[in-house]
Amino acid sequence: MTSKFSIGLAAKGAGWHAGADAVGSFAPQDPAAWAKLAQAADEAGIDVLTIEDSLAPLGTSASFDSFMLTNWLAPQTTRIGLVPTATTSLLEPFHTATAVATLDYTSEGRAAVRLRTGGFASESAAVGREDTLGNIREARALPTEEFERLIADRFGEGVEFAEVVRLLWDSWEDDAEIRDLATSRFIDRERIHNPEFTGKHFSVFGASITPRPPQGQPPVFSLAHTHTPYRFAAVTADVVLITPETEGTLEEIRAALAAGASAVDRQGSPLKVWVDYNILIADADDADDDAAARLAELDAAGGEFVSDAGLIAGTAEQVATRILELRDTGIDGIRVRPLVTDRDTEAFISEVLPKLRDGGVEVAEGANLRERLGLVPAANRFVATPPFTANAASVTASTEEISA
Amino acid sequence: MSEQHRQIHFAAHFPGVNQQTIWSDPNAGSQIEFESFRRFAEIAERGVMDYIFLAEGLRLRERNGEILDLDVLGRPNTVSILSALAAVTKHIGLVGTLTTTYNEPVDLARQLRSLDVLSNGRAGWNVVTTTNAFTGANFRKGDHLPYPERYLRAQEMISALEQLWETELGETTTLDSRYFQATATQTLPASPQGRPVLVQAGASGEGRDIAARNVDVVFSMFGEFAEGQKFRTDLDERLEHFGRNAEDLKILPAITLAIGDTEAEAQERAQAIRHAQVSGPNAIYFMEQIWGRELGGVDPDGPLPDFDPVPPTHATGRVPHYGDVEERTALVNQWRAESEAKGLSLRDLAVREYGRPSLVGTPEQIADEIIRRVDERACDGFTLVGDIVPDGLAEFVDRVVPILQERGAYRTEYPENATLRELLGSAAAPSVPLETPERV
Ligand SMILES: Cc1cc2nc3c(=O)[nH]c(=O)nc-3n(C[C@H](O)[C@H](O)[C@H](O)COP(=O)(O)O)c2cc1C
Repeated sequence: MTSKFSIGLAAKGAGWHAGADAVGSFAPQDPAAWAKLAQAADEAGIDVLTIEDSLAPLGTSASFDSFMLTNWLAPQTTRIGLVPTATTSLLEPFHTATAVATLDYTSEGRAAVRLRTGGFASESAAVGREDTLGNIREARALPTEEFERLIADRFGEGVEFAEVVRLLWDSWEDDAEIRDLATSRFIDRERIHNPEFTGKHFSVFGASITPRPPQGQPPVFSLAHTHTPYRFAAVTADVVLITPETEGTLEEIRAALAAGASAVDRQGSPLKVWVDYNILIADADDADDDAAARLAELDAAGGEFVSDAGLIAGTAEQVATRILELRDTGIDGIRVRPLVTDRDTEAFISEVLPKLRDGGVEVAEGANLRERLGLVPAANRFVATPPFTANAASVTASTEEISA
Repeated sequence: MSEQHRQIHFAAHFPGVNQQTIWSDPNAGSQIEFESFRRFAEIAERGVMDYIFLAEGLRLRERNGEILDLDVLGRPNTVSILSALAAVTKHIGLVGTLTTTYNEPVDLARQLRSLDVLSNGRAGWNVVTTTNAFTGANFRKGDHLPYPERYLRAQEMISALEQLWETELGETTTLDSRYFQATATQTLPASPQGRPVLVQAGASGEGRDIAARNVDVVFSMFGEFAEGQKFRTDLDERLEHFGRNAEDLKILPAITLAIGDTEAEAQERAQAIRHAQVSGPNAIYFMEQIWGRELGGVDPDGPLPDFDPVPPTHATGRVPHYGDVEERTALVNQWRAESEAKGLSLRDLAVREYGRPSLVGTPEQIADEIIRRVDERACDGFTLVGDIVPDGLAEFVDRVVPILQERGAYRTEYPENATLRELLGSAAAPSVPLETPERV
C-alpha cells in the first residue's frame, strides 16, 4: 500500500532524554554537528527537520537561535523542510514574519515555522516579565479547567501573532515587483497591502519589508495537547502535532481535534494531523543492549524519562512496525524525537526508514515544502480565498464551554 | 612595495532600498533571491574585504502616506540572511544593521551570538537607534521611545549585550537598568572573537560618543577628504576621553564608484549612473525632501519651484540628511541662482546633487586617491556602495584592488581562520558596566 505519509525529525540538543548529554556524542554547541545531522536527514528524504527553541535553555545542552540555525542550514541542504520555533509570547510578529520569509528565500521554498505560545517563568524572565506559569510540568499538573483558564490569555496573544504573521506574508502580492521603465516604478503599490492589524495584545500597521516568500504561506506547525491548543491549531496551523497515549487514545484526540476545528469553524484546507513520538532504537543483534537497557542507561545519567509525548522503543523492526500501524490509522505523518540525537537518528535513518519505504511510505514529490506535505497552494488573502479560514475569537472561549 | 602605507579596510554594502540602487539596468538582478546575496558575497570575498554590510529599514518607505514606488523595495530579515551567507562564505565578516529600539537585549544578544558562532567569529552589529512613530507602528510597544532618549536606551542595550556575551554556556545573569530588567541563562558557547564586532552609524554628538565609547567601526557619511579628516579629529578626541586608542576605531565612510579607462570616460559614466538613478519622478521625490512638501505638479525638466521649503510634514522612514528649514532654504536660494545662470533644470540639479560622495576615475586614479585618504587619515577605508545588484562591485574588485595590493596598502589574502575583529586589527573597547539609573 502506498500513501502520503510525512516524516519529521525533531532535534533538541543532544537528545530528548535529559541523559543524552552524557550518553550520546552529538555536540549541540558545534555548528558542524548540526550541518551533518541536517544533511543526513536531507539525503534520507525526511520531510522536515524541526528545531526546538526558547529564550531559556533547553536542558543543559547548547541551543542556537532556531532562525539563525535554520537559515545557516538552508544553503547546505536541498530538499528537507526547515522548521524553526517561534515563541509567540516573547517575540515580535514582524521580525518572525520576515525571518521565516527569508528562510523561504534562502531554502528556496522549504521554510516552515512552529508557533508555540510559551511563557513559562524562565523564558518570560528573559524579556523581563513575571509569569503565573512556573514550568510546563507544574502547569500540566493543574486541573484541566484551571490550566485552560491560565493559558487562555497566552493563546489569545498567540492567535493574534499568527494572524499578523500570515497577513505580513501576504502583504505583498506575488507580482508586486514590476520594474516598469515607462513609469519609473519598481513596484505597483496597489499590490502591496498594509495589514493595519489592531488586536487586544498588540497592533501592527505596515506591510512586510520582505516580499511574499516563494511558498506564499510557509507551513505553520503547532504542537497541541489539550482543548485550547487544539483550537489554537485549528485557527493558526497547517499541521498539528498530537501526543497520543499521554493525552488519551489517538481516536479520542482526533475526535477532540475535530470538535475543536468545528468550534472555531475552520473552513477550507483541513488541518494535517501528525503524531509526535519519542523514539529509542535498540540494536537487534545485541541481546544485552535492548531498549530497556538503553533507557535504563539514560535514566541513570539524566533521571527518569518524563515526556509530554509517548515513547516508541524497540528494535528497528519493532519501531517501523509501530509507525506503519500508526500510518494505517489514516493520520498524515509522524514527527520523531530521538532520545539520543546521534544514535537514534542514525538508526532511524539507516534501519527504520528503509522498512517504512518497504511498507509503502514514499518520498514525497513536489516543487516546494507545501506540496510535499500535501498542502494546497496558498492563495493570497488580500485578493483571494486563503487555504483555510477560522474564527479566531473562539479559540479562548470560556472554560464552561470547553468542558461542555 | 617600497613605500609604507596604512592598511586599507573595505566593507561591501549590499545595495538597498534607495535611489542609489539602479533597478532599471538590464544587468540589475534580484534584490531578494538568495542567489543575488551569494554572488554579492563571492565578489566581496574575492576582493578580500573585511565585511559584508546590510542596512535596515523596518517599514516600507512612504511618500505622502503612500508606499514609495520609485526605488527598490523589499529586503530580507537582516540576521537571517547573514546566517545563510555564513554557510556559503569562509572568511568575510557579516555585519547587520539592527535597531536598539525595536529589539529586546536577550533575544538580540542570542541572535548575534548564534551568527557569531555559526560563522566562526565573523559577526558584527551596526548599532542604530532609529525611533519614530512610523516604524514603531509595526511593533508591540509602538512609538515607545522619545527621540531624545534614543541613545540612552542604545547605551544600555550595548552594555546589556556585552554583559550577556560575557557569560559562559549555562551561566545566568541579570540585567537591571533603566530600560531593561531581565534574567537569562546563556545557551551558546563563546565565539572565537569573544563577542561580535560593533559598528555605529549616527551623526549627532551623542551618536559619536556612543561610537567612541563602544565600537570598532564607524559607518559615516563623511566621504570627502576634508570633512573626513575633521570627523576623524573629532572622534580621536572623543576616543582619548574614553581612554581608547585611536587605531582601535576604524572609520569607513560610504562611497560610490565610477570607473573608466580614462578620466573622461569615468566622468561620463558617473553622469550616466546618476541619470539612471534620478529619473524625472525620482528628481521630484529627491527635491520633495529638500522642500519638505509635495511637489506633485512640478515639471522635472523645468526650473525650480518659486515657493520656499517648509518643515517636513510627513514621515518617510528616511534619515533626514538635508538639515532644518533655514538650511534647506539657503540651499534652494543658491540652486536658484545657479539654475538661472546655467540654465539647469530641476532634474539637472537633482542629478548633480545626488550620489555624492563618489570616487570617479581610472583604476589607478581611484587607487591613488584611496591610498592618499587612508594615509592622511581622512578615513580607514570605505564602505563601498555599488549601484547594481549583485555585481556592482566586481569591477572595483578586479581592477582597483590589485593595484592597492601591489602598492602594499591592502591584504592579498585572508589570514587563515581570522575572525572579523582580527581582520579589522582592532582591540575591542572595554565593556561598559551597566549603571543603574532611575527606571522609566
Ligand atoms: C551613514 C548612516 C547610515 C545609517 N543607516 C541606517 C540604517 O540602515 N537603518 C537605520 O535604521 N538607521 C540608519 N541610520 C540612522 C542612525 O543610526 C541613527 O539612528 C540616526 O541617524 C539618529 O541618530 P543621530 O542623531 O546620531 O544621527 C544611519 C545613519 C547614518 C549616519
